[in-house]
Amino acid sequence: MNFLQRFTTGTSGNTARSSLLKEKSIKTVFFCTAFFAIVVIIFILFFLFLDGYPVFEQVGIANFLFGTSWTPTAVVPAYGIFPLIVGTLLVTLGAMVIAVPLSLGCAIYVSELASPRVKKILKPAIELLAGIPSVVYGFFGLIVLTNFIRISCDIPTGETWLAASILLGVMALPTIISVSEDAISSVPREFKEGSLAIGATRWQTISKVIVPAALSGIAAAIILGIGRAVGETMAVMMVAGNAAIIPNPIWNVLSPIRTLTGTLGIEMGEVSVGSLHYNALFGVAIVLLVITLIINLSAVAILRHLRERGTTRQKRTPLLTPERKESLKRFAEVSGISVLMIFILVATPWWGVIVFLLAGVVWYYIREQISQKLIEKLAFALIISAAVIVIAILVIILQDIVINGLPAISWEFLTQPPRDLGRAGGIFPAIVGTLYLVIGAIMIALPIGVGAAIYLVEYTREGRITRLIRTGVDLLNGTPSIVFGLFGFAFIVLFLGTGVSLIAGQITLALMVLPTIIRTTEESLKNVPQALREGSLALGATKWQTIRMVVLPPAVPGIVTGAILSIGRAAGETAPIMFTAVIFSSRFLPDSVFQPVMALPYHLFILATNIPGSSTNKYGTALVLLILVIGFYSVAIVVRNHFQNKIRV
Amino acid sequence: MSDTPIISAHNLNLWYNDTHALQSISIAIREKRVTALIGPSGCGKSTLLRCFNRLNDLIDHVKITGEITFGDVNIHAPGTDVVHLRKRIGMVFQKPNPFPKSIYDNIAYGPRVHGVKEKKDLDRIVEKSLRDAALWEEVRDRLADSALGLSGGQQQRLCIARTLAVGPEVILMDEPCSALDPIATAKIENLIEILKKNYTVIIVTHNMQQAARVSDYTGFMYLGKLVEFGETRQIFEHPSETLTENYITGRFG
Amino acid sequence: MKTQKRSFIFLTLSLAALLIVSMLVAGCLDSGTKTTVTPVPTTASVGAVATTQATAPAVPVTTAAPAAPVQKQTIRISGSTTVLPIVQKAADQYMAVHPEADIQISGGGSGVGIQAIGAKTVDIGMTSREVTKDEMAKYPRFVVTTIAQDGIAVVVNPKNTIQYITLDQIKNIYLGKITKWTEINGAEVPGTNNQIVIVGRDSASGTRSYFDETVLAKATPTNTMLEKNSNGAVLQTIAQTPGAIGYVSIGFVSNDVKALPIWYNAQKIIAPGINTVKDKTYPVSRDLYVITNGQPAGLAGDFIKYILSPDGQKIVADEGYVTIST
Repeated sequence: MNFLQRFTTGTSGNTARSSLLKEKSIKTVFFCTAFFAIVVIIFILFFLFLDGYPVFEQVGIANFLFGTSWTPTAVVPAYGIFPLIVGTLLVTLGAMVIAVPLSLGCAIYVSELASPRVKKILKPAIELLAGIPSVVYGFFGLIVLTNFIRISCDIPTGETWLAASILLGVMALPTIISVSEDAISSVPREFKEGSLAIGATRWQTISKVIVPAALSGIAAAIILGIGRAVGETMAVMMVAGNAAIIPNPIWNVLSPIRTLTGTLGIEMGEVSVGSLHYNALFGVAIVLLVITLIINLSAVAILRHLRERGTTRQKRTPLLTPERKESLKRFAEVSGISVLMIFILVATPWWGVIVFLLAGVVWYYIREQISQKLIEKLAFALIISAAVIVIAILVIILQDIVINGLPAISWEFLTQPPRDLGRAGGIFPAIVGTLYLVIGAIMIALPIGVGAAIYLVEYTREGRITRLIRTGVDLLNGTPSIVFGLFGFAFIVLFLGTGVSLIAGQITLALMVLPTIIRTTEESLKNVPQALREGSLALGATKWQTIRMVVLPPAVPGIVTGAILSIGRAAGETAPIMFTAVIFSSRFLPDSVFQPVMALPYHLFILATNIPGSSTNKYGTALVLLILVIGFYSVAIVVRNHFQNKIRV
Repeated sequence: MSDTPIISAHNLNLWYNDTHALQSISIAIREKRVTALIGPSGCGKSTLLRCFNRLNDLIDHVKITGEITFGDVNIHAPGTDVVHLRKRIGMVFQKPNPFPKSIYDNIAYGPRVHGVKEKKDLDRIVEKSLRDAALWEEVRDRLADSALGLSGGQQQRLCIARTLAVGPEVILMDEPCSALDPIATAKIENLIEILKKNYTVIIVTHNMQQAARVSDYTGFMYLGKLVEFGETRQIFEHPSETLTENYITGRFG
Repeated sequence: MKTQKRSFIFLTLSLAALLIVSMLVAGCLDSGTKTTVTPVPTTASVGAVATTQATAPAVPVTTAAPAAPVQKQTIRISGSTTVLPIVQKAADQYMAVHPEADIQISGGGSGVGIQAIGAKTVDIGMTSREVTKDEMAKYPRFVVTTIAQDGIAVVVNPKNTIQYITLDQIKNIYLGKITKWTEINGAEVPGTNNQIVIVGRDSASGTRSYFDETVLAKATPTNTMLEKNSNGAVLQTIAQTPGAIGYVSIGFVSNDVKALPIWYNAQKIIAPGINTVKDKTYPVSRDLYVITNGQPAGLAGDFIKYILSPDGQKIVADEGYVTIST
C-alpha cells in the first residue's frame, strides 16, 4: 500500500455508513423542495379550477366561451367571454405583425451585419429594453401613444386595438430578438462558408441557408413573444379602451378592445367571494391557462418537427410535403400582402393603396432583371432600418421619461411620503415597499427553485414523471402574471385571511418567479457536461460532493443571472401585487409582514389613471422605477458576460 | 511474477434494454499487470470495463447477472460501498475531462473529497501524482492556471495524475490515446510501462499494435463475447481461435 | 483557482451591494416619515359652510373614546374614487394632529370598497352609491354613515360648442342611439367629424351604478363605451379627447373640462354646483358614504367623527363637494 492510500482508506465501516446517511439526508432535502414546488404548482391549478368550475356549471361552457356579451354587473348579468377571447387573439396578432418583421430584421442585423463594436453596445441595449416594466410602457402609451394615434389617424380617441398592439409588439421585441439572435449565431460556420464558397451573395446565404437553419430557434422566439403578448395586463388595460366588443368590421384596428387579462385586472377587486362574478373571473383565468397550454404544446410540436426536419432520418412522412410547403408559402405571401394592404388602407389616404399596388406590379415585372447585388442592397437597407427603428423606439421611450422625469427627482421626492393624493411630496414608502416585496419574494423562491431544479436534474432520471413536471413548470412559466395575482388574492388574502399584506405580495411574487428560477437553474445544470460528473464519480466522490464541487460552480453564474432577472421582473410587476399587497397611501412603513405596503409600479399606475394634475410626479415615479429595474437587469447582464468570458478560455 | 487475480468476472451478462451486450464473460485480471481488451467497435469492451467500477450504474435500463469479484468481494453484493470501490478502482476516459478548475485543484479534488485537508499533505500528493504521470516538469510553475489551457495530451496525463492522486489499486483506461497525436500517445504508453510496477492496469484499445506494445495479457472480444484471453505474446503469435487470428491479421475489423 | 475566487468575490460583492443599498434605504425610512406631513392650520370654518350633524339615512355616530394612544394605531380604508380625495385630505390633517395614527387608503371603486369591508380586509369602506338590499342581506353588520353629498356632472371637452343638454339626450347618447354631436342642437366639435366618444366607468364604480340607475333607468350602456377606472381617468380622457362625453363627481370638475347644465323638466337649465346639489334641484345628486362593520369604534370611529366635524366638513367643501346639513 503506497503512502497515498494511507490517507484515503478511511471510508469503510462506520464512516461509510455515516456518509451514506448524509447523502441520503441531502437527497431528501432536495426532494422536499422539488416536491413542494410541484405541490404548489398543482395546487394553484387545482384552486383555480375549483373556483372557476361553478361558472361552467351554471352558465354552461358554450355560453361562457361563445356568449357575445360580458356584462357581469348589469341587472341581468351576462358572462359571455367571446369578445374577450377575440380581443386577446386580435391584440396578440397585431403585436406579432409588428414585432416579428422588426425582430427578425434586427436579429439578422445584430448577428450577421453589425460590426463587433456595434454589437457590443446593441445586444445589452436590447436586453435592457426587456427590463422596462409593463406599467411604464402603459404609462407612455397612455400619455404619448394614444394621443399620437388620435391626431394622426384623425379619430375620436386613440385608445384602440392599434395602440395595444403597438405597445405589446414593442414589449415582445427584446424577447424575440434575443432568442432569434442566439439561434442565428449558433448556426455552424460551415453552412455559411459552404454557401459563400459556391458564389452566393451574403443576403442569399442569410435568407436561404442561415435563417432556415436557425428556424427552430426563431420559431421558439416567436412563440415566446406570443406568450408574452397574451399574458400582458397592465399596458393593455391602460391603452386599449377596454370596451368588451368584437371590432366591427373585424379588421378595424381603430376600435377599442378588451382582453382576457384586462378583464381580470379591472374587475378582480370588486367581486365578493363566492358570487357568480367571482367564479366567472376564475373561469377567465382557466381559459388563459388553457391558451397558455396550447401555446406551449404547439411550441413543443413545432420545435420537434423543425428539428426532425434538420436530421436526415425522419420517422414518419413529414407534415410538410413539398407541395404543401409551396402552398403554405404562397398562403403566407398572400396573407402578408393583404395584411399590409389593410394596414396601408387604414393608415394612409386612399391613394396609398394605389401606390402600393403599382409598386407591387412594377416589382413583379422587374424582379427577374435585377441583379442579386441590388437585391442584397435593398434587403440590407430594410434590415438596417429595422434595427434603426428598434433603437429609435427605445430612445423615444427613454428620453420621454427621462426628460420629463428628471425635474421631479429631488432629495425630497426620494425620501418623503406622498402628499395631496400623490401630486406633491415624494415616493419614499413606495421605493421601500418595492424593495421589501422583492427581497421577500427572492428569499422564498430562490432556495425552493434551486433545490427543486437540482433534484430534477441530478437525482431523477428522464421519464414520464419528470416530463410531466417539466410541462407543469413550463405551463406556470408562461402563465400571465395577473393569474398569479388572482390566485394570491383569492387564496392568500381572502381564504387564508392574511388580508392585503406584504407577505401576501411576497408569496404571490415568489410563485410568479419560481418557474423561471427552476427553468434557468435546470438549464445551467444541464450545460455542465456529463463527462465532468463521470470523472468526479470515477474518483470515488459521492453524489453530493460531485454536485457541490464539480456541477454547481460552473452553473452558478447562470443561476445568479436567472435570480437577478427574476428580481428585476418582480420589482416591475403590478398585476400580482395590485390586489394582494398594496395600498395607495400610507404614512408609516409597515412594521410587520401582515401590513400592506406602497409600491412603485402600483403608485405609477394609480397616478397615471386616477389622479389628474400629477404630471411631474408621474414621470418622476416612472423614472425611479425604470432606474431601479434597469439597474437590476444591468447587473445581471454584467455578471453573465463576465462569467461567459471567463469560461470561454 | 505474481499471477494472483485481483479482479475476476464469472459468467457476467449485461443487457441494455433488450440488447444482450455482454454474454457470459468470465475473465481473471492479474494483479500489477497490464491487461488489454481488444476487438472491433461495438464488441462490448468499454461496457465490460465500466462494469469493473460500476460506472454502468449511471445508465438507465441496464441489467446485470453474474458475478464480479474484486479481491474476494462481490462488487454487486447489496450494501457494497460503491464510492469506496471507485476510489480503489480508478478510471481514465477516452476524451480528457479535466474539471474547469486549476491544475492543482484538479489533482487535489480526489484527496479533498476523501478527507485530506492539510495543505502540506495536498501539496505532496499533487507533486507525486504529477511526477508519476510524467507531467510535473511541464506544469510545476503554473499549478494555479486553468487546466483547460493544457494541450490534449497534457490534459489526459492530468486526468491520469488525478486518478493516481486517490491511490487506487487498479486503473481502468478507456481508449486513453484515441483523441491524441502520436507523440502524446507515445508518452502515455511509456507511462503505462512505469505505472504497472505499482498498479494493475486494464486498457481498452482499438489499436492492436498498442495492445501488443503495452500489455502483458490480452483479451479479444467480439459481439459481446470474450473469444480468447491469454498472455499477449501467445494471442498475437499463436492465437487459438480462428476469429482471433482473423481479427489480428486484419481480415476484418 | 485565483480567477474563480475573484469572480465569486465580485459576484457576492455586487449582490451584497444591492442588498445593503436596499437595507440602508429601508433604514433611513422611519427617521423621515414622522416630520413630513405639513400640518394644515385648523382654523375654524367661517362662512356658509354647513354644520356637523349627520342627516336621515345615516346612523348617528357614537362617540368613540379618544384613547390617549402611546403606540401606533392603524386603520385601512378603500373604495370609491369619488370619496377618496375627501378621505385622503381628512386623513392627512387628522394624522398631523394625531401622530400615532396610521390611516392607509386605497381607491378601486365602490364595488371594491364593499367587497373589502365585507371581507373585513379594511376597517372602513367608501362608497358613492347605496348599499343594495342583497348586499345588506349578505353583510347584516354593515353600518352606513353619510359624510357628504355629491352631484354627478356631465362633462365634455371645452372645444365642444354645446351649451346644455337634456336627460333624454344623455340617455340616448349612452345607449348608442345618438352617435354624432351634430344630432344635438347647438353641439359641434370643430376640427373633428363630430363623432361622439362615450366615456364611462368600469363595473366596480359606484358613480357608474348611480348613473346607470338614475339617468339610464337601469339600462346597460352601449358596449362601445370606454370604461375608465376612476373619476380622474374619466377627467383626463375628456380633457384630451375633443369629441368625448363623460360623467364625474362635481368634486373633480376642473378647468380642463366643461360641465354641462342640464335642461330639466322642460324648463330650467340647471348647472351642476354646490348649491344646486344642496337644494336638490340638480337632478343627478347623491350621498357619499363610509361603511363600517358594526358601529364605528376606536380609531375608525374617531376618524369618521372628525370627517363629520366642522373641520372635516370644511375639507369636503374645499374639495368641491357638498357638505351635509341639518
